[in-house]
Amino acid sequence: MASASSTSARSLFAESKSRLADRVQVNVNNIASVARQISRGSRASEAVVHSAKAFCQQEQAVANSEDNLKKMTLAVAHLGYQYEAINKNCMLLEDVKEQVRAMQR
Amino acid sequence: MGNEHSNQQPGQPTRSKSLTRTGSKGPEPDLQDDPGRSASPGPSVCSDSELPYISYTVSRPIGDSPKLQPKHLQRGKSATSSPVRTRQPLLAAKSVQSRIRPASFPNKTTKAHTIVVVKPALENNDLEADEDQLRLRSTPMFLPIMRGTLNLPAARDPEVLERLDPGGLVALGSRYQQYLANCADMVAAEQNQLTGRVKEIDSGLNRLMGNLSERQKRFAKLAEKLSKVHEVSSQLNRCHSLLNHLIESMETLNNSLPIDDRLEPFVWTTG
Repeated sequence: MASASSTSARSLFAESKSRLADRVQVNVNNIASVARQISRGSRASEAVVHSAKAFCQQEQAVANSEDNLKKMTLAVAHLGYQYEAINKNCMLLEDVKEQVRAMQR
Repeated sequence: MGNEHSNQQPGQPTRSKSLTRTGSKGPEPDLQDDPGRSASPGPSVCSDSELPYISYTVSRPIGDSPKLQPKHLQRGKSATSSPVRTRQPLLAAKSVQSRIRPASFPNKTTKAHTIVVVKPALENNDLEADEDQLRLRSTPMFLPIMRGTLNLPAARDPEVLERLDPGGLVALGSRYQQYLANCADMVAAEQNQLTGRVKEIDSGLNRLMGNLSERQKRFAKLAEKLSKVHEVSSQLNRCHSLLNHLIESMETLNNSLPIDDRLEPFVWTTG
């Protein structure tokens, strides 16, 4: 009796275990598909990925801007030198005027 | 078979205790008798009144761990009596939890597919402290909605499905979906704004750079022109000195002439 019931119990439980495992698998798959539907339906990742790609393409623009800024600093330095030179020459103009006046006397 | 069962009877309570205790000693006496079988419940659990699988499987995983290797265990059991292998919990320790004592498994080390220990086994035998298992065990016992549909899956489906209302879940899901969409839209909008600003700044800087370079060229030309002032002044100086020299030499020449032929003294006048 004990042996019969335990064998039948074992076979019974084996089958029910496999069925339960199947059910659980089906349920888990369903939940997973619901989750996938939610995440895909909201198009969250698409939008974010799209904007990230666009932002990455600005990297070239940013590098360009940095180059421009560096060139600008150099250009500003050059402009400073030119200003100094022009200033000096303007002062010289005054001297030249004096010289001409002296020569005219 | 009968002998096996009679052996199993006293072994079962120790097995169940040891599974919760260490898990290492537990399966060994069982598997020694019946290596390929899963840990099935004993005869005491078998009853027709309640669904047997629920009360049994609440605290124990169904079946064996998928990593169980009965052949190795057989060989191991024959070699030594002490357990050398911990049963891997179902919910995935990432490391290979196999303790190999090389002295007791001479045949294993020489095999082609010896176990490679990527990370040494955790010394923590505390299976109960595993978070996931604790959470699993703390789930309340529940009965399935469709009782008895295991045997007859299509029997009462329409009845039960009428009573089940998916509206709540659908509403929850769509709300979450909407929320995710809103969050993503906000983030994407801000990011696109930033992209636009970067473009603007780049174009502005380009314009500025153009202006600066244009100004620089103009100033270079002007500075070059103005630098001629310096040349002019130096030439004027030379002119002046040359003229003075000229006047001197004229004076001397005039004075060297006889008094009758001298010209009148040179006076530098401007008209």
